[in-house]
Amino acid sequence: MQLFFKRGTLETQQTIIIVFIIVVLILLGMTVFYRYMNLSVKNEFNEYEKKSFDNLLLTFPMIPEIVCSSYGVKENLCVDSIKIDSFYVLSEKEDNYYLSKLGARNITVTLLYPEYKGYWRIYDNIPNICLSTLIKRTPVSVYIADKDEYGIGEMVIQGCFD
Amino acid sequence: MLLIIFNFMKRGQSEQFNWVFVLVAGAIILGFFVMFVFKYQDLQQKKLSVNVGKILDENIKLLETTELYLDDKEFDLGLRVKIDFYCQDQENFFEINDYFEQKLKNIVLFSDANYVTDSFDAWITSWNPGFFVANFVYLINPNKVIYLYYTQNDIELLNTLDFPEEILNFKKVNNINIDVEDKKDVVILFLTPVQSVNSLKSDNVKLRGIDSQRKEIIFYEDQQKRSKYIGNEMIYGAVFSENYDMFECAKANVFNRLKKVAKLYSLKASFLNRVITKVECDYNQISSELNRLSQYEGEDIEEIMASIIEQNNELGGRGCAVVF
Repeated sequence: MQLFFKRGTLETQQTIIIVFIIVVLILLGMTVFYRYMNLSVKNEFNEYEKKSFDNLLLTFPMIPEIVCSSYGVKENLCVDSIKIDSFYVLSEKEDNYYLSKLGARNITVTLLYPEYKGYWRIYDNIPNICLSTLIKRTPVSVYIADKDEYGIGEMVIQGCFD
Repeated sequence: MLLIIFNFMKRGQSEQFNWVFVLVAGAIILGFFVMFVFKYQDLQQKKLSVNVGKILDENIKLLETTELYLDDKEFDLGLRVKIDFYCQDQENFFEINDYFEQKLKNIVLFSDANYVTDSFDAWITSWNPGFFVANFVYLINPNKVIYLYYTQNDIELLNTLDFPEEILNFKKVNNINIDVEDKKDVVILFLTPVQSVNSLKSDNVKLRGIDSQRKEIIFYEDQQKRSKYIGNEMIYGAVFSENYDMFECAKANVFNRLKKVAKLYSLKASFLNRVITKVECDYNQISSELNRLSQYEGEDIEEIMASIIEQNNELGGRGCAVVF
């Protein structure tokens, strides 16, 4: 009789242990899956940031601060060299305003043709420590105001991402 | 005998304990599953919100590069979401499903404040009071109907307004008795100030008026508040804005931008003065005027702008490089 009771107690204890292990496994599985989903959302957000960066390459050359213009009419796909120099000075004075518009970026233009020494820093706000950087380039037409000539240049945008 | 009965009772207690344990464990597991389902749903919403934000941003960028308009078939978000647009501290930003928030960085947005939608009509114009200052983007509910009420005296103004009829439900009327009962979202723009619009006031109707003499837009449902406009682009903005406050916030954003661009042109004029040494090319006056514009606090900029444009044209006429 005592043996039966001991066996019954043993079986109960076995059941408890098995159920406990199953619960722990389920909880582990759910935790891992939840973390995976969370990471997936973060990745989606990073993808958005990178896409936004690509879009900046398309739209930045057309902002009123650097786009070429003649008698008030803007000329798309062209950047004015003197406006670039002015923008660099302005962006340093109006730090917060342009930081909220452009973020942590470094933007430069290098003249490729004709072969003068043409290099302009447009915007410089990259922190010293950056987890990852992305660099994109696009060709632009450059109006060299002091020579009243057009050239071909390359705009480089460097972005800092977490 | 007693011992046997006692032992049977203990076995009964053991089975009871088993059942209690199974019920409690089952309840805990079920609770975790339910919590997990809610968390999963929440994460999926967040992921979808970011995705919709991506599509919204891309379409706006597409508008900026093509400078035209997009109808609701082209500006499709893929699924129905809640989008709220805000204008605070001269910044535009949107929030999707109360989760994903993003600033609209280089454009000025005129739009209703709250949407539950899966698509937009969208239109872009450039605001150029003398030189290019900013792009205005108008985001429009595809169900919105716009009535343009005009009289014979308004034909000249009517002909200057250029709403894109390709994407908008747009009607010109000269009878003030407009039937709006079966329409969900209506804007009525009066091209001349109207005394009594009470008969037209309704939850689904926004009423705007233009006072072309004083260059003011009247927001009838906001206690007939008036706001100055410069250029037809601002008239369009008033038509598509939620209310007076959002329009004023967007306008403040625009004027802030104008000051920055004016400051830049003032710097450019100073640079040109150093680089170009021809006697007839004196940029001091225009540089000083542009600097004054960059610090000007009011909205009545027409006189300063006219003076600056004249000086710019004179410089061009003398064979000098123009400032803008």
